[in-house]
Amino acid sequence: MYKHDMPAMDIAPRSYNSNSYTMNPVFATNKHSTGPITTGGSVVAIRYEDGVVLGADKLISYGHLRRFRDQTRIFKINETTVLAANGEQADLRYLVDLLNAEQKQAELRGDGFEKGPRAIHSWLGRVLYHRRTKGEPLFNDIVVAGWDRKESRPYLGHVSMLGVAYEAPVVCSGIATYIGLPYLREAYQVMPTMNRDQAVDSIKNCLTQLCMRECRSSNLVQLAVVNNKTVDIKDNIVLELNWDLAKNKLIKN
Amino acid sequence: MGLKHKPNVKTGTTIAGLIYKDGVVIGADTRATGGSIVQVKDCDKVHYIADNIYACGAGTAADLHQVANMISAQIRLHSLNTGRKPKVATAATMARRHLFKYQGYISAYLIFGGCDDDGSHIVCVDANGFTRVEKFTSQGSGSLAALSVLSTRFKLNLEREEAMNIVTDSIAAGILNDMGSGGIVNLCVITRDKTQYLKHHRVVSSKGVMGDY
Repeated sequence: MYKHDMPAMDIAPRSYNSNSYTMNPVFATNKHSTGPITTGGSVVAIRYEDGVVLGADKLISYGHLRRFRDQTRIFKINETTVLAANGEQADLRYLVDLLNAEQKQAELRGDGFEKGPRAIHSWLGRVLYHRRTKGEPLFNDIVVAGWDRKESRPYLGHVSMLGVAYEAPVVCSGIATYIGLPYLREAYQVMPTMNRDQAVDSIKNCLTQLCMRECRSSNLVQLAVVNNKTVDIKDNIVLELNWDLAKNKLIKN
Repeated sequence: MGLKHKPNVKTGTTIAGLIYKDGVVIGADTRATGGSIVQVKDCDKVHYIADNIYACGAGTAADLHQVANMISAQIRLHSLNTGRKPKVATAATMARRHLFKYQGYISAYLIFGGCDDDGSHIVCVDANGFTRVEKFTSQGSGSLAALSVLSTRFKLNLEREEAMNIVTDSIAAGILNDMGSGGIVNLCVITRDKTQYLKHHRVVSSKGVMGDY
């Protein structure tokens, strides 16, 4: 593989002149990544019979501050792949930039070969593991959803910030791992061959519960539906929250 | 060298409870862990407080047993003194006063459930003494998993069967998705006239039986 062919492989080298002692990354003593700063909330995704549904809210927080309330966190890479992540959004957008650059290269080559979701998932896993090994991780748990053209089936994978990459029918990032995953796993277990509308309903229910239970969340969300033809991102969905049960009155029998 | 001194036996746990049309349903799993080892596979986390009040507990097993026994004895004496059926609020208040005094060092997270002359109640008492009255609640390490089921399916004035199913499913979600919870679901259904303790209500998963993934 040629270096110039895949610009994404050039992962932030600290020094171009490796003879220089002070600039050599091996001897660098200053810390770089300390923690996520501009953060996104949870991401939830479920595989259904003919595709995948992925959901995330549109809020980007800055600590306790709800800083950007109408920002996209779901990115379409090509007609077969979409990804979203929680955590540091700057890191996510950096990765998406690299992937978009590679996508552009693929279009210019014009040979009909495109990176599918499996390739992108694998690449992300390697990049995140590499960054963790260097001691400056990218603070994202990424959900990769798509349609695997070679095997003609939906693809759903997850990469943690330390580079643990796996494929599963139901996948969540962030606090949704504790609140959303059990709910979605049960839904999948009951009906693994659900259709698109049932999958969208499950995701919407999950996001509604998350919005009510997670502090840094909002009810303005985006949904991405992937099927064998294309990726469809539904923007600006407002979830209806029902706070009736919060009115706590004594129940007399 | 060798095995380190065993850490406290905790009930890493999923406990849950809700109020339905005729009373309350509370449930718990049966796993007690010491570190990463399962110390007891069939531990009873639904504690008797009074005939009409039961408490589920999460936290350190020893603390829970002692606190539950102590509250049960105090409630018995109180009820004999007053000549009245004991109230859930009384039991919860006794627990709260005791636990707050120890500033959280007694690691007992309790869900009191029962029916008394004021109606049906679920009261949650944390180890620090924080008390809340809820319509449905869960505690323990598997609490978020249980909450995901309870939040989505709870409605007011449920029927008995559905209420039992919801609590059982929420404990099952904790057993399947949380490593500190496991075993069998124990359920306790309390109404104004009757209390039914359903030990081993549902076996959620068995060793050697493979799931889908």
